[in-house]
Amino acid sequence: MAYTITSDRLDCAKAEGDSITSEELLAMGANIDALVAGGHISDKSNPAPAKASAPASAPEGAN
Amino acid sequence: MAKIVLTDAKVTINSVILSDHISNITIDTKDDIVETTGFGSTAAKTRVAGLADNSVTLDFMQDYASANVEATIYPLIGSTTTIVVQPTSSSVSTTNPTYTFTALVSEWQPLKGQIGSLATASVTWPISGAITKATA
Repeated sequence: MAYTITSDRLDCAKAEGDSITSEELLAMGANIDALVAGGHISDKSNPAPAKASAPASAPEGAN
Repeated sequence: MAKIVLTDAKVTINSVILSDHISNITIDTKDDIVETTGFGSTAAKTRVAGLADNSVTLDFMQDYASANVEATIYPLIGSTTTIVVQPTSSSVSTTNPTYTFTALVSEWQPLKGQIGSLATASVTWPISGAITKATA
């Protein structure tokens, strides 16, 4: 499984935005679930949802 | 070999570099003392080293930003994690060894501080297994 590095704090020879595999992470002794929860990597097949935009609302007094 | 003032120690927890948010680190190594004094030892007791019981103490400066202190440590509570410590962030050498070990994240302080002070977290985690020192 592949992940995208989403922070600049991961101690590996890769940069933010690069791809890293679960095999590489396990070789580093990393707890993958904790890295995902901490925002250091994201699952490429299930990326974090984009920030939702504010719901459109009818201007005041439209009714 | 020069004396060293710690200004650039490198601390990696679960492969995440948190050095800039840590102000104090202590790796404690301690062996149990097992007495081996037998009959006939009239002058003094004799002893050998038993099992090692190591721990690491860290003082964090709390940060709730994404991919920072709280986000990194909170998911690790109750589990073991790999920690790597170096006196400086330079490459590994005989004068800048790495100490690698597995610690049990047995305590955490999500919020600690008083009015007007820095939010911090001070923890002592037991080390599970041996500490590995590498110089290359």
